Amino acid sequence: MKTRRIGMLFGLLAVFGLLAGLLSPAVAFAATSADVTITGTPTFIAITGTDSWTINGLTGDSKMDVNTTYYSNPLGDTTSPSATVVDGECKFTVTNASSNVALDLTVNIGNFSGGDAMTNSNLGTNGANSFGAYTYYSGMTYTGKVIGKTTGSAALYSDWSGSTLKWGIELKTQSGAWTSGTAETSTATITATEHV
Amino acid sequence: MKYKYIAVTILILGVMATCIACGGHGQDIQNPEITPTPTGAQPIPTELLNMPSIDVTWLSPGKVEVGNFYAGATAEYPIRVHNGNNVSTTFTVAYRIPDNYATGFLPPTPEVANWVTIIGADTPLEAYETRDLTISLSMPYGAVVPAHQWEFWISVKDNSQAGFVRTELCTRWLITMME
Repeated sequence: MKTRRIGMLFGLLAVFGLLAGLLSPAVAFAATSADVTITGTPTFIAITGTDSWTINGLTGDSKMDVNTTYYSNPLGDTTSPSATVVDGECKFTVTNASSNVALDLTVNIGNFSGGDAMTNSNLGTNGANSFGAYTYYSGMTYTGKVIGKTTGSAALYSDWSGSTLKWGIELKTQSGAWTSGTAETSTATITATEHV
Repeated sequence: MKYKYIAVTILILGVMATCIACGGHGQDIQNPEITPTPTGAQPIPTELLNMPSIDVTWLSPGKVEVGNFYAGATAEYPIRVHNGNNVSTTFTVAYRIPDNYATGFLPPTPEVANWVTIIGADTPLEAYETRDLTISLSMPYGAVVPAHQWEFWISVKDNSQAGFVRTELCTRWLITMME
């Protein structure tokens, strides 16, 4: 009789342990460190292509007028590129030194500082105190130009594996009159990422 | 007597079930302070690959894919930066929101900026130096998941660049959460 009671006691404890284990699925099947996977693709991202640009300084007098569209076009500061852009209409060159990978190229254009400090409308159109910008590259249909935003621009060139690419910027100055009369500066950043 | 055998058998099963339930990684969920060990493989030695010439600044790898990620987990992976300049150069290495996304991947939430730490970028790279920087992504326990698949970039900029047009190199981090 005593043996039976001890056995029942063991049995109750055992059943309790079994239930405790099985009724804790959130813990029992929780994520484990082995589940996290990390993979790095052995590729090299490398581009070169810093450059300068004085707006209206390629063939003009380096002074900007308001409400005017300028291009980084060596053929003329206010000369629009051809319907299909050619190398000679692009001031900038990006060189691809990457290996084992195709790239996406994206261009962001920052706000100006100094002077009237035009801001980027991020719309491609200008406003009283804002400029609009687009980017383009040699070989593209010009109407396919890409809006140049401060951040979050669409890729100018997706899946690029070439060695060099000529490209340029279209910028329409603010519509409001200048108040400062002094120079203002900005930067454009061309970003290379692996094409996925 | 036979009750004893039955009881002992059930007891053993119960103990085993409890051990499985409470063992090891289960604590990751219960205790957010314990983060799992990163499982990233080391990158292939650059010497074995077709790397750019020494005088070109480069970044490797181009993308890091993290799978089965979850709140409370940590993922670390080194990115390799090479200074192609013949002088000591300061680089800005930073987390950033992507300009555009891989197919199926969505933007990070603003909190993600606080989940990423970059180790080793606080001093200039010597001329032609190649350096591994550790990128650590730690998602706090209980944090809101940005999306099932989301993306952020690690940006590398050479601060010695001047002029209107400057270049930036980015590694894509593609995160897929556990189902």
